[in-house]
Amino acid sequence: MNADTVIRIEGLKKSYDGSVVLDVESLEIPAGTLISLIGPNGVGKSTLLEILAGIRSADSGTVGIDGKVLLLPQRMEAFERLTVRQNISYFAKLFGREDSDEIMRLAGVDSYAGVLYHILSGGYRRRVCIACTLCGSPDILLMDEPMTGLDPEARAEIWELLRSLTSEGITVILSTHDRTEAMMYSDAIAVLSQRGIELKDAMGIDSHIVRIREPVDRSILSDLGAESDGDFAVLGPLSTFELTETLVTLRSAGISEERISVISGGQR
Amino acid sequence: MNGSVSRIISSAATSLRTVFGSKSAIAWMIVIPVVVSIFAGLLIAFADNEVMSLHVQDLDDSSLSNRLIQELGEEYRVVMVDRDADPEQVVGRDAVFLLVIPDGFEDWAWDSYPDDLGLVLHYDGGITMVNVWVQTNPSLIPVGMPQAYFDLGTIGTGGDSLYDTYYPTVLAAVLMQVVLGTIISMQYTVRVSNLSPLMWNTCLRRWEWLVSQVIWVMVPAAVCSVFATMIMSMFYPILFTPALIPPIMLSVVAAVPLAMLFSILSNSVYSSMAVATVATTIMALVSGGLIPNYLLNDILRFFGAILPMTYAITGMRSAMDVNTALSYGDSMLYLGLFFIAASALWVAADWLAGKVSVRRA
Repeated sequence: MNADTVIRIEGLKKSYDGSVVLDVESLEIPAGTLISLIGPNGVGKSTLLEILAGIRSADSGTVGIDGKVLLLPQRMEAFERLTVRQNISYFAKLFGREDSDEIMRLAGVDSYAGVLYHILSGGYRRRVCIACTLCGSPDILLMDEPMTGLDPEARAEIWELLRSLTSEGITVILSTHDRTEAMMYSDAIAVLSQRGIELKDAMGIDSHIVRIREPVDRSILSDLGAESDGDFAVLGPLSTFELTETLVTLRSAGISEERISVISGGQR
Repeated sequence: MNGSVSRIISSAATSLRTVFGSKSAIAWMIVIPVVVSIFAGLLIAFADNEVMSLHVQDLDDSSLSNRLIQELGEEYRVVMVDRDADPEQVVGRDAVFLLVIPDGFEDWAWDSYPDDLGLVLHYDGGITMVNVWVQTNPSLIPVGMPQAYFDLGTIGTGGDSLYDTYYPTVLAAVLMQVVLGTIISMQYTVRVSNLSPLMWNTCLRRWEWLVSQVIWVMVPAAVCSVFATMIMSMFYPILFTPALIPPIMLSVVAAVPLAMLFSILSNSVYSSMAVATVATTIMALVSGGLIPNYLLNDILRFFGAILPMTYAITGMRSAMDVNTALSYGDSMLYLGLFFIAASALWVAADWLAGKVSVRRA
């Protein structure tokens, strides 16, 4: 394992009832990065996270982990009738830490310390849950679809929080269905499919994402290598040259400009 | 170990804060004891007597059987049944407890100890029945002679009065309802909020959580015990002996893993409360507190024998000097064993439930 690699996976396989749900030939994740696992339902995103967290065992393969791993479960909620401070202090004590104020500051919830958890907005609830997990001083923070149920503003805030955690040296790996956000905010995206896993660099300063409002002819999407996340087909990240070529192809396929939007790396 | 102590205390304090932060939980803790105790108190206060009725059919009709009936009359309200009546019909129609004094009873006594009867009445009350027998006074038996006794059979269960019988039952039912309800809702909170995967796999062991739940639940149990006793004492002069405290506390402890086990069946706070209510009702019915166990079939008796309320009631009755089949110490022992068995079951079921939920993910 390289000095800056915190997770290294070789030949990892997991099957249920004879059908393979996860097949990772090789994957290395560097320290202090934000990695998004993307892919349709059933390709093994949660399974991979749970194997990394040690909750689930693989059928074969090796997983090398350098550091303490904690998993934030998909629908975790803190104690409803406790304040933010009480919740975080409780987990800090469980993990043997005394600096719950510092953790609240890190998670950006210090100004809500005295507020009961159940009256917080969805975004701040998620922040509190992240803070509870941070009490365990993880080197690697795993999160299963942490953006689910949040509005766009709250999602953007959580993404920014996660980016700030990487600047503290924490490696963050999360699963998400939003390919656009993943490419905008992550350092890299790990695309899971039936064929395996592929680690791609996310958007650089000169890269672009093209979003096309559905419906789009499947054959065009297939030719371009686009994937749909529901309302939009998403392409990218693309270089400026590839972007020009793609736009020409889309127009010649009869897709109107109103249905096409471009997000450039400089907008992060 | 210091880490464990700190985690247990923190978890107990968190649970206390959570429950006492909820108005409905506090109401649950106070309203239930008050309502149930008032209801039970009214039943006792307006009952036509405070002494258990005992129907007696005297087939011997001798001076000795008359002496026995006279002695029974000092502890029970004796109702004489015609000697030609069919005992099964009497029990089915009028009586709960029927004692039949067989023909030849006096002859047995004279044959055994013709010089001095020294008659002593015994009854060995219990979870399922009360055995009654008469015995020659041991102090009058010459050294070396065997004691003789005549077993008159089973007359039922219960204490000397409605108060002895129902106070422990009401208190146990109230305690179980409160303990099961609050613990189940706490467990439900931890399960549905997905806290348990984070806690069990990283910072808290299951046994630490179990101990923390046992500790904090003593507070609401004490509150509801005090309320229930206060209300009951408004209707009847209850003598609260310190010996009642161990069975109360041990029954609370034994109910904790049982509630945790039930919580695995719950999928909402409301269903968890429903599970608690159903479980408490069933326990009250099969514990021998409300209905004599000998009236139940074998299956219900079996359930009664494996539920903590049975031993809580027996222990409390023993503490109040009511004759029971199980001694005070045995009841405490069974409550302790119940705690161990239910704890093991909860750990296994919780581990299994976690595996199943991971498998379904």
